[in-house]
Amino acid sequence: MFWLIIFLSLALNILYYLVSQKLKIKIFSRYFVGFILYSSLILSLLIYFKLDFIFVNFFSFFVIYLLFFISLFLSMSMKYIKSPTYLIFKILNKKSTKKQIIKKLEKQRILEIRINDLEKQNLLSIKNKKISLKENLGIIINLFFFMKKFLNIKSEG
Amino acid sequence: MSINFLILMNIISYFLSLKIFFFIFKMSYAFPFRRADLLSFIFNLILFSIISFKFYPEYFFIFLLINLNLFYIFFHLINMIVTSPRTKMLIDLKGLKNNEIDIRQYLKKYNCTVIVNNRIRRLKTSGQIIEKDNYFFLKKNKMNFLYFISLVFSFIEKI
Repeated sequence: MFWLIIFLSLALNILYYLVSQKLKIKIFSRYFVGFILYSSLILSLLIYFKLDFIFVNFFSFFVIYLLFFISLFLSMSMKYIKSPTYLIFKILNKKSTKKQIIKKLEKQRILEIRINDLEKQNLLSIKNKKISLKENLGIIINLFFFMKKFLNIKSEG
Repeated sequence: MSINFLILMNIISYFLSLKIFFFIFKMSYAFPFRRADLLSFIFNLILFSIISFKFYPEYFFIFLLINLNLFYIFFHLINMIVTSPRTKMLIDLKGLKNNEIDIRQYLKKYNCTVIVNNRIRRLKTSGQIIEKDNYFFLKKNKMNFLYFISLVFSFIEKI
């Protein structure tokens, strides 16, 4: 029975992830809202089909289902924008000086791409050559702030 | 002790043990993982495996999965805070008055040179790259985790 709970929570999450990637959902808030709708539908189906083995262990199922969702959600950001470390790895397949690495990364406009992505994600706005933080996703930014302070770590970038 | 309470305890314990291990080991690495992350995972996995074996042996794999997921989530979240340029921008902006800054002024402080310097320092410390006569190259005489990481990226890109 526990294998079924594990399998179901993983399979449902993978299914949602694959479908949203096929639909090219890149905006985090849309992915999140879609997940809530999808989960409501799944819950209705579980009630309709009376899958009692899940309701007996609902809390375990819910926790694993949620943790799988967060894991896949965090992997999503790696899909569309390549990490600078990955780009440096590609550059270093041929030996290079620091200047050459910087030049190649500048050519790839890594910072501009990220600023534009944050604007698309509706997390910041660009007006009159000024970037400003939007207040609509305060919870997520506060979570980063809390973690940073709680673990006493530095954001180096 | 109910199973729900035990699961909740596992999550809280993971969070608190991260704090303790980060206090002890700070940002030291057993590449590709931070020691604090790795030890939190091992500590909680062993602790809750023993407890689950004693009280709920059938739930063992549930606890294994919970801890594996927590390991991945916290490892990734902390990586985002420490190394991700997008997260750094958000955190920097949050710390500013009115949460705004002139782009040119910001790019003077945070730019490709800073990004490359940070990464070269981290990769050199973890022994993934070598510097010789001002040239940098990948260390190929041992299993290079950068190669493994690039495979992970390629896989994620495809799915």
